[in-house]
Amino acid sequence: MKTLALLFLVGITSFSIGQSIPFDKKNFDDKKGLKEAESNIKEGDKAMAAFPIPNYRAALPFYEAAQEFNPNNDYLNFQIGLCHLNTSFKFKALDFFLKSFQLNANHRADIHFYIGRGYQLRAEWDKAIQHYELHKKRLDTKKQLGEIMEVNKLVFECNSGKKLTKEPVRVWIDNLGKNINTEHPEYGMIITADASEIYFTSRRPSTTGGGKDEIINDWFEDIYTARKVGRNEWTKAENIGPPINTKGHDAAVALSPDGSKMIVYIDDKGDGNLYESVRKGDEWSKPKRLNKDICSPYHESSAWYSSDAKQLYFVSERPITGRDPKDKDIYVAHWDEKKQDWTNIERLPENINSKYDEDGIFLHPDNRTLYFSSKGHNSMGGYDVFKTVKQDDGSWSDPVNIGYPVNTPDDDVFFVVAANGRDAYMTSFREGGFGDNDLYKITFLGPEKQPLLNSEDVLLAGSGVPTRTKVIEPAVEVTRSQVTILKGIIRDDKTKKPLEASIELIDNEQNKVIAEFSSDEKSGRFLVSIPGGRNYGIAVKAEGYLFHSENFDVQQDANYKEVEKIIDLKKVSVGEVIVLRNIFFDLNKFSLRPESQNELDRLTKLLTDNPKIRIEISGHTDSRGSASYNKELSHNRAKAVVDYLVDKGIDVKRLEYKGYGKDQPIITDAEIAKLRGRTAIEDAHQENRRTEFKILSN
Amino acid sequence: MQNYKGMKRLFILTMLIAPVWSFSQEDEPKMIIAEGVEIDSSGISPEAQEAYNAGVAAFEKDRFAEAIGFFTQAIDLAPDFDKAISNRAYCYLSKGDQENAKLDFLKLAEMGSDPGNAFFEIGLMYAGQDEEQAIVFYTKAIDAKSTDPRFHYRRGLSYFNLEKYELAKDDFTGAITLDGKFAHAYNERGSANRMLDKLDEAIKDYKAATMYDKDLVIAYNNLGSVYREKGEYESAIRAYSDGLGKDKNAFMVLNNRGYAKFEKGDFKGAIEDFKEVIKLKSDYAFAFNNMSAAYIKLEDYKNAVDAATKAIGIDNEFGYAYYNRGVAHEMLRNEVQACEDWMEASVFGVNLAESYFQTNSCSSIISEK
Repeated sequence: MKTLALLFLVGITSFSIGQSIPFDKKNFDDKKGLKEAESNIKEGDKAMAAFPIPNYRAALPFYEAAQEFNPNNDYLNFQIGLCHLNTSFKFKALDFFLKSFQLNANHRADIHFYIGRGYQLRAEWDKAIQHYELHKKRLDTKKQLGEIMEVNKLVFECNSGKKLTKEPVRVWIDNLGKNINTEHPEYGMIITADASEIYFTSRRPSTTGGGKDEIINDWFEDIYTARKVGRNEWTKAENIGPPINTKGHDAAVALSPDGSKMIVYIDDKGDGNLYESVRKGDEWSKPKRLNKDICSPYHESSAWYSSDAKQLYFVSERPITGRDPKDKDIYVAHWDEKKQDWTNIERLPENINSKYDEDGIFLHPDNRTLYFSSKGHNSMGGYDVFKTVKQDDGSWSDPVNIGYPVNTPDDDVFFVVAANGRDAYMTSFREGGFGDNDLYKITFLGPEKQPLLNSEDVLLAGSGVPTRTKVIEPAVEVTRSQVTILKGIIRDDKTKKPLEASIELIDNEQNKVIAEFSSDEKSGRFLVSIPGGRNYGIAVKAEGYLFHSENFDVQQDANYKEVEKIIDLKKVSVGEVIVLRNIFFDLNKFSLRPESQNELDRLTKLLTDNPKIRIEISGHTDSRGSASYNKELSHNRAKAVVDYLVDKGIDVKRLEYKGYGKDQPIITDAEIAKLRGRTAIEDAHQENRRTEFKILSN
Repeated sequence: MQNYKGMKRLFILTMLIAPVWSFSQEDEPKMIIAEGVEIDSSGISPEAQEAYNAGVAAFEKDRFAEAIGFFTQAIDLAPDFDKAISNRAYCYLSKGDQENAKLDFLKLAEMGSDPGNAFFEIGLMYAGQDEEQAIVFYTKAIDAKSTDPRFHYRRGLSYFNLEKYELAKDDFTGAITLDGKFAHAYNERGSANRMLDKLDEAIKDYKAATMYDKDLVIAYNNLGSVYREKGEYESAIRAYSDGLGKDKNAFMVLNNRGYAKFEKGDFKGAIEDFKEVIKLKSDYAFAFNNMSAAYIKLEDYKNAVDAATKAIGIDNEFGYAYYNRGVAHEMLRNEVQACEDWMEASVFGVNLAESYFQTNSCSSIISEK
């Protein structure tokens, strides 16, 4: 019951509770098969007992063969899980550990440790932590302190993993493809600065000499190379051959920025040292071991040149006082120009070198940014890649985990970055790969690129405001609508050509000139607005012409009225007769009315301007009244005009006068008799009542 | 009735003027006004008034040149006939002859005939062309007549256009003081506050604008945009929706609501709005671009590329659309196209695209294609 509760607690729900089936005759009818399975288990166990480390790769096929016969054995499931955990397909391990536990919870006291490992490799952090905690409870805090510390480290890794996977970095991770990767392990990729050429290490059947390392039951390492073709394609990887590759382990470690020198790792019978080879043309020289300051009696595994080739960073397992000699740390050697060798070895500070292993270093061409892998710091499991930047004062910034999914719960090492800073390459074991470690390209996309949107606002409503409210003033009420327009043309009496003449408009009642103007020079036209309801005199004069005068009434009328006058001026010549229309007398009297003055003055001026002319002033009446009366009246009226002229200084000798009475009508009585209407008849009589002057001599 | 009166006036004037115009233009005699001809209380002769009324009638029929002729006749008859000068000025304006209009308004101002309005009209002529000069004349208008809210309001607009937001705000406040229900002035003051980063005050003003003019869609829109700026997306969406309630065809408001939904994280809702915008205005490139942005957030990069491409089809200098299409292309791993789009976007002023062009090593990507 306790076991069942525990299963639910840790989330093991995908397996049904069962019981382990031992490899026992009583359990199987197939005795031959049983025997064969037992034999396979024995062979597997034998490989697992290899010294100095179990040969998991060799053991696995035997165990798997036995598993086919009996899949429900606690021991066998565990052993298969163990093999997977230490070979190519680590992710498979969890299922076998879980089944082993399900078949027999007590098969292994440390089963929760392994289940925890399985979950951690799958980045199922909480489940991994739960199993680690269960495992820890079973440890003796006094006797198994080292194991407790190991579990605590794993729990710390899981907690780091939880944080890192919550904020994954945006990358593309691309397997470099079948021209580079195989089902065999590829790792330790190094690149030229422009990332056009790569070198990497692989254990393949094509290894130089074709031999296997018996300890690990795998091919000896050799170095391979390929060239980039286009953006993401590579040529088929080729073994670079001797002299760099030997029959033993030969691993690529570092490449100078210009690709002219390569550092390779050579096993040296377990010592592990760094050698340098120089390229001449397409040929690499035989690698020469770096000096003893670098190649200590201990293991040196990784190195990288600074871009100015003045420094060499490398990893060594050399002991430090009070520290585990197995701890790999990063060191730097400086190039001594005089000695033409690497000297002055320094260990990088404690904030870089953790108490766990560091490895797989890469110094960016900027000479400041160091990438390295570490099992310490806040790794989420195995080696994670970290980044540190050298400060101006020579110190190194605290390493930063470059994040998930570049880093995984398994080993992530040999991280190299192209000069562009965007592309990187690393060794990793990932699902979907070709098997074992593969080489991957990492493309850093940077922070999420936020899309850009457009919004537009009309901030001002002003365009819609009817600002120009006062577009136009409205029409006005015209206070006087009795408009009379006097218009006309002044012409030569004979030629009818237009004349420019001076025009006076006289309000006869007020005896006042109310307008003085000229007719148009070219057209002889004039246009004048005059008040209605009055009697007007109009006098026109032009040089060389006799003046013309007449009077007319304008009725007081509500309507618009137009009076047109076409006035033909006569030249000053003998015999010409002019009617003086604006000379007025009182009824039946011969005394001049005041309003006659303007006309008389014009006549005076005519005589003054033309001193040679002599004139006759004649009086005329209408036909009404007696002839004698009319004669006398007209005579007296003509005389009154002459008297005025004489009074104004005109020589009397130039003046004659005569009263014609009704003898010379302009409109005859016969014509008047034909007229209709009182006004027309009266107007005709008015036309006949007149004063004239006639030029007698000039 | 009003029309009938207008007709009557036109008839009289036709009778009056026809004989005058029956002369050939070159022989046209100048009308002489005899002494004693009656004039009205304004001191304008009836002839001038009749000519003026004929001008009004012509103006009302949009016969501006003819109207100018009549008003000029009236002015010749009565040089101080301010209404005729004013109307002629508006005729000139209607014809686009600002120079002559300005001369008439200046004359009116000189005559002391509503100089505030005359200066104001000159200010309006300069508005949008030479805001500094506009302000000079608005100021003269205000000096002549400080009680007209339009003068303060318009000067505020000119200050706003010159990005002198504090001065603009003062003038809008002046207009509001004179007319407490001047909705447009509230809206503009809201915008001035917005530009001064006084978002809470802007919100108050925009709300007042919508209170005094419930159909002022612009104010609803601006209110929504300020809320959006403040990150108050629900309020923003509500304000935009209110605006759309007044005018469902206000595509700009709809686009902005989509934007607010986008920022709220409702990318699907945003896309629905942008699609509606496109139904209303199929050539609105902004909506296509915004839709592209929303598709990017939904990681539907293919549709994002399609939408951005449509935006570019409408406006081939649309930097944002190139930028967004570049982002979508990158996520589709079409790096070359992404780089080419960012290059285009940077040409059209999107600095971010230029930055991505660099950080993404686009030069080498394009050269490797």
